[in-house]
Amino acid sequence: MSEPLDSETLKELAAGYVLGDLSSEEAEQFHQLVTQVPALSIEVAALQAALHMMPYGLAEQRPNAELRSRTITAIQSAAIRATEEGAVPSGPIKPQIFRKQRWVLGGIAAGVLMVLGIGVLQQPVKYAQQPTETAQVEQVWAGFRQLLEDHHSAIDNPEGPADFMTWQPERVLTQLKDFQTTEAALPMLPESQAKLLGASDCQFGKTSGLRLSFQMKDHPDKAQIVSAYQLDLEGDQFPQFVSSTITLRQSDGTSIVLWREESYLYALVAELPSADLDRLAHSVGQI
Amino acid sequence: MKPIAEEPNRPVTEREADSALVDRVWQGDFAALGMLYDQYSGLVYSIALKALRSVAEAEDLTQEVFMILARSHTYDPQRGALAKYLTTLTRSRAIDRLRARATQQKYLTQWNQLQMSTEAASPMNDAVQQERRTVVRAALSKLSDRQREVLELSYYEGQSQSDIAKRLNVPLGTVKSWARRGLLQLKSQLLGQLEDDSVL
Repeated sequence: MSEPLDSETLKELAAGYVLGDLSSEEAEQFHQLVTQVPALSIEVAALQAALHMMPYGLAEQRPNAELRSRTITAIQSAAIRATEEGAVPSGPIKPQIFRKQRWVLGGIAAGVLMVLGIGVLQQPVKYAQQPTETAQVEQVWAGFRQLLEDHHSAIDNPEGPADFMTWQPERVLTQLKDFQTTEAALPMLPESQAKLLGASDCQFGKTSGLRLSFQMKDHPDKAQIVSAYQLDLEGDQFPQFVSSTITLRQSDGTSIVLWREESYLYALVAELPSADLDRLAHSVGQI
Repeated sequence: MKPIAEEPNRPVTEREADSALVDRVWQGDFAALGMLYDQYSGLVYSIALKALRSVAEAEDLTQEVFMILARSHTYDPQRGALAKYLTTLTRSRAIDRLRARATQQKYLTQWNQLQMSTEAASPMNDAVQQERRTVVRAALSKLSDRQREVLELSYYEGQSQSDIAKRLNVPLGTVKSWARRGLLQLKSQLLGQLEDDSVL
């Protein structure tokens, strides 16, 4: 850097980071500065806290009193249904009202593909305790939903998409405490296409892993975040794949690409066209 | 610089109390669920109504948020207060719903509607929340209308700054400047006010 930045510029960078509107150049500058200027992290934390306070400025509104009993009754009914079905919650349980997501490849289609044995999902042994194909599909689908929900909660998190910020893959290994892996096994996107923002530990039921958050470099006006997952299949909730990758697209524009490598499941999730995300996935070293 | 505390006027013991209530809900205690609903439904509903501008959809989202709280077991008190979890969850789900809405035109039409009439609001009983509301409203009132508008469009509706620029018919750089300076000013106002009130 040729000359020191003034505090106003630092504040603008911090605000841009919190708002997710840094250009590629600014993001580069921010990541260089964040380790050199401790005040920058403090400013980011303060801005995130201020943004998080905004809902308290809303006009006070109370829902209709009848909604209270309706909500509690609905939750009771969901609990009773789960008990009757013998479901044991090992992770998020999605009541019926949440199953509004429509997929380009729907649940029925996936089930048919599985039954015919020509599809992309195959898990004949893993769910021996689940006697039906339907149960298998449900379980697989629950895995997809968990990934999507995790991605959306990450990109909508007012404190940023990652538990800690880093642009260096080697720091991922030292910062993440709950997941052991190697630098070579990380789902790193090519630097020419995306910038590493940070990493987070992930836990989906019994499956542990990590999420790397990247910002695409060709979206300067809006932080286009790609979540890259590496999950340990030891606590296996995911299927064996026959094909090299699975690509799905949700009706809201979110795409997901999954592939397996040795004992890991990898996934990319982003609001990108599925073809673009698929190309991105194939540029990751593990495929 | 002293950062704003994550939940400035909410003592740790209260977070623990909320956490204990959530644990009871997860054990099937619906009385505990009612207590949490009474405490936080106003906050959840206010965010939902602000973002979705529809009483029916806001009620539906409020129910969905409490369903997730009760059934998903995803709240972790180590990662923040329950209010923060519910705020983030509600905002995230509201933005998902906005994105799923059929057409941009429909959305623009709703945007142009005047402030919708809603049921008479009852004041929040919780004095802490009331105090926090007063402080934040005062801070937001110091922002220019444009700064506040841009921040709200971005925060509650997940609008990209390029979309906001098109909607407001101003250059992208102007929107970026309003948003950044608005946020910096909001932080500055909250920091001073909250410190004065000794609630940090």
